[in-house]
Amino acid sequence: MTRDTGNRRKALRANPAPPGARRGGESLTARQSEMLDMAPTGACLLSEEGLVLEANRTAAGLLGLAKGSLVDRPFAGFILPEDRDRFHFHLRQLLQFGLPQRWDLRMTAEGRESFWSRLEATAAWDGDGPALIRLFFSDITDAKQAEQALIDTNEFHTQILACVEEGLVVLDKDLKYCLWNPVMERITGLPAEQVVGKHCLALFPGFRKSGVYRLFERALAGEKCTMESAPLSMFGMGTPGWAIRRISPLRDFRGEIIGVIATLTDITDIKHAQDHLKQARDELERRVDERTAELKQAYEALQTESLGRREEEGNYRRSLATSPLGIRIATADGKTLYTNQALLDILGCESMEELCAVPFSKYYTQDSYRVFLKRFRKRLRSGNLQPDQYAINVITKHGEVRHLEVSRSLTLWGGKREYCIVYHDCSAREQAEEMRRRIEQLRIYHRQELSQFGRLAAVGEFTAAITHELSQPLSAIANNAAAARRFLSRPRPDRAESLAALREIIDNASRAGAVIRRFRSFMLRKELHRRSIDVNRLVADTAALIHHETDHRQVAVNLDLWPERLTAMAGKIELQQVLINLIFNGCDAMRKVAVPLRRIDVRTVPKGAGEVVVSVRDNGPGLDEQVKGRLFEKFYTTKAGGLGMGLVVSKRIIEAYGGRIWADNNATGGTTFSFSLPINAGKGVAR
Amino acid sequence: MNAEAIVYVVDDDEAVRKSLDRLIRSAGFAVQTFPSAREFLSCPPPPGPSCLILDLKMPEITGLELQEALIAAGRTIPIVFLTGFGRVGESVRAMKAGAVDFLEKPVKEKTLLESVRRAIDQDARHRKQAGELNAIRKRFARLTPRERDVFRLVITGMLNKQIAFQLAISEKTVKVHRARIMEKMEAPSLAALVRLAERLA
Repeated sequence: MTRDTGNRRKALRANPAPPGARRGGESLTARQSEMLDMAPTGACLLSEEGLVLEANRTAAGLLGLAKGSLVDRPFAGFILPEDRDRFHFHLRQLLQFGLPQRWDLRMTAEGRESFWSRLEATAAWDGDGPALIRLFFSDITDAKQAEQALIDTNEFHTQILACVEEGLVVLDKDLKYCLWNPVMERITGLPAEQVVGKHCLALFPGFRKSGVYRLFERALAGEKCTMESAPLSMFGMGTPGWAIRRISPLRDFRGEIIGVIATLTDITDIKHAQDHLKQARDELERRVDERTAELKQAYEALQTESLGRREEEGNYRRSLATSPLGIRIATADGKTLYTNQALLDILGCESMEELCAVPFSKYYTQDSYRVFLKRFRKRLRSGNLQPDQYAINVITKHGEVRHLEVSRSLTLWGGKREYCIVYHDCSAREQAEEMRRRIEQLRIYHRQELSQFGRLAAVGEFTAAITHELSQPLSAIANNAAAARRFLSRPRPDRAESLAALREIIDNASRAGAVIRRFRSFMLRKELHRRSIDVNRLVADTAALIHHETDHRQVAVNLDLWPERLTAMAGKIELQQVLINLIFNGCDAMRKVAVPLRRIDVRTVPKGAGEVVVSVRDNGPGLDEQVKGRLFEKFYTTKAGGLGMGLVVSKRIIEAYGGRIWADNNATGGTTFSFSLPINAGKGVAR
Repeated sequence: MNAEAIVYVVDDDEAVRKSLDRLIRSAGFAVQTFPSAREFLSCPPPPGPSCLILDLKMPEITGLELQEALIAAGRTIPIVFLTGFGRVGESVRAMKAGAVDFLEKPVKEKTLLESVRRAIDQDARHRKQAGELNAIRKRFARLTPRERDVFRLVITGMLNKQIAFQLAISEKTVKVHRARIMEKMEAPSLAALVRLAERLA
């Protein structure tokens, strides 16, 4: 043993023995042993090496072994391996310095889970013999768990405070700060140490003026208060911002008020977001207004446009309704959409509802239906969409069998397939044939009118674009002209300014001209197709095309064609359109002329070397000078149902092909409309 | 005619801008033109009466946006809008925001110059009123705190005696204050003083 050991021994002796401790080396009397066994704590006597020398019953119970079998076992064996180092550390401390040790560690025992144990160790020294260790231990698992729960709860609360996204403040009854959470630190830039324990007014003198102090006092009196939109500047900070303050009394578990708790929600971002939102809403509202105005304009334009169309359609419908032929319009699957009076009469029905009460095929005789079906299937297979003609027998409501000739054609109306079916009661065959042709013609005419509307819409779009492009140079011209006039009419005219203004006028006039040229070339390129046209043939074809219509109007059309071939570069459809338009105009003009005098002469003649002139001469009343001057004006018309677009479109077409169109009153009465076209070079007048 | 008045023109189309410049100059106004709203905004506000002729449809910042920016900046310059094709929605919005006129291009000389005159007059009137109010405020600022107390009571029509009682001072002192107030506020009579007070309020 070293000198240290001697010192240690002295230290041990000077120490009073803990209660229940015994001198080492002493053997226990039976009574003492019994008393020790009764003790509620486990007690062991260990050797310096940590072997159990003696143990009481409680110790044996705690360790799950019989009292006797504990002897000579190392006590460390009952300690959880992780905690053994600590056990040995404390024993070393005890043996080295003689200081009683007290510590907690986890122990294991036979037949039970590890448990927390509180160990108290004292050393006993007797003479020069080896040291003995008295070790008392007890199961403190319950206490430990309670302690841990408490720690957990505390940490939980601390964590809650750390995680709260709002500023949280607690003041005691004297309105001194008790709690200042991290959010408050962040908002105000003041650390909790500088705040806690201080009186609120000492820290923030502004509270009295801003009313916060008053709210604290009211909260102490038991009232809950909210302060919307409190400026953050009340904390004496420069940063602008806003917060909602909620201030409530803080009560203990008895419900007594022990202070004030206040939260502070930073709503600066929300406020900004609201501002942005408001801006966005205003912007949206503005756009909606604009769009509404645009839509309104578009709607008005559409209405103007469709008015004309409706009128045309009305005419069409009237002629269907009064036709002596039975007419039915049906969907692709046979559902009847429209029937005219003639068909109702043929089938002996009172109304369309009555007719539609049964599928149309029910009117067929059985034989007819079989033939019809076969035919129909065959056509479906072949995909033939040409107008179809066949004969059927039908049974009328009155039980009569009638022989009908049927002409059925497929139309595409608004993108939908529809059938237009014409029924001709054969007793009036001739008349029906005539009607069928008329209707066909009307439909051609109608289609052409529609194509004109398409053009009209295009004209409208161009007009809008041109208006915009032209308004700038026109503004400049108008302003400069006005300025020049003013400079010149001064008592001392300013020549320099006036000249400059005139120069600007010239520049802007040519700018406007360029705009117009650009648009014109654009329109031509986009719309017109040219090919070599035999003008004589075109006139003849067109006259044949509308033959039924002119016949119907009881107008004789006389062709006077140049004996040689005349060709021009133009579009066939467009030229036909112009010609039809002129001929129909002529027919319209002769409405009040006696039938034998209704006559239209169409002539073709070459003019000079380079032009061919087509003229359409009628026998009508002729044109007033006033009307004549406005013939080619858009929307100008003398007809009741007219649009005032026919001649405008005609003029545009003819001029696009490099020709002219004009009207003259005939010396003998009536009007001649003429147009010229340049003759196609090379193929011009073929000899 | 209006030597000190200045008419600003903001239009992105050079030809239009130049022609407006010439036309308005021919009517005797000084003119300054800008090709964009941005350049106009960077120009310092004028000392004298002015108005702004503004094209509605411009790239980048439109006429309406410039109007908003001016209102936001507290610049109360009267605006005459010009537009290629007027839209109801935009014109209503411009007029609501205080535009003097909303004219469609090409605008008639007479219409334009009348609008400009009206706008300049409006601005001159506005400036005059603002100037007067400023002068009255300056005069009021010269009053001592005690004189202001007396001033407030005098204009309610109280007698010197009543004022003296109210302020717990002698009637003679009130008289002295009163004389100083009339002198400092440059009011020839009590009625004039009351009118000044009304404008201050």
